[in-house]
Amino acid sequence: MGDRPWDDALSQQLDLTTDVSRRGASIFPVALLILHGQLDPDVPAASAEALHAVLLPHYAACPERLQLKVYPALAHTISRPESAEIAAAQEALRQDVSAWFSRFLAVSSEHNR
Amino acid sequence: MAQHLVNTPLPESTPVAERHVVEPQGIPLLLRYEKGAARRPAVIMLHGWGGSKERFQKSLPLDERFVTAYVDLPGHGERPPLDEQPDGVRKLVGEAVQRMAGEVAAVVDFLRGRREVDGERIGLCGWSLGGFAALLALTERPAVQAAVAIAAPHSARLVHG
Repeated sequence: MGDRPWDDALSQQLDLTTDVSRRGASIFPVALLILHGQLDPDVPAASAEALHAVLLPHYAACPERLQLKVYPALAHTISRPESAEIAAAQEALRQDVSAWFSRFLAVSSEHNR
Repeated sequence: MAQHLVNTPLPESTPVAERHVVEPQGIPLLLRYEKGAARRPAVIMLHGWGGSKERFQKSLPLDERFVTAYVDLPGHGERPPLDEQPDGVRKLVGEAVQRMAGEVAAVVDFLRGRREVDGERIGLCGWSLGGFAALLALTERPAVQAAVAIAAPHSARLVHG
């Protein structure tokens, strides 16, 4: 995949129909965990940080239901450990996913739909 | 011997992996749960570009406290390929993401109809393209209480191609 910017009509149309950040208000109150590798060459970690920043005001009443975690050692993949450090980070990610669902699916909440 | 087997108590729960297709959309999924267990929360799992439900299950398994539904995204796994477009991979990515986002509600309905699933506790998880589809699906307000987006773009603008 290259790095040509999306500057044609198709790109603009796709962007309008797929940009989640334009509809951030509609995601609340789903408990949302955003996970990203700091070294991700395919999808920059900055995009996760930007989405988190856009969503944050919508979660002001329940900030614990929105969380961003960036793993310094991770790139894009979550399943091919190329070093002990990456393997540990990938295992940490798996545990974070499990812990999030344990926390927000196991206990009923006034915000659950 | 047969009598012995008949009288041997079954374990309290047994791990099960089943293949289902959610109709009429034709969404293949791999359903994993513990047979005989009480109703449990369920999590819909969406793989990345070029992936499949089986490979994602190996990459990111969840433990037996959850019913899991690993789904083939449009154009992936057991599903027919997406039509080739002159605009290339980015159009295909956009089509796969938008179609999958629209199909999440059908997968939720499928899970809510299963006796193993506590229909009030359903989660959604996706990696990369699947994370993008998960985020987009959430904006349509499916009956999902929790979600995890991993390495996910949140706009087609962020997908290089």
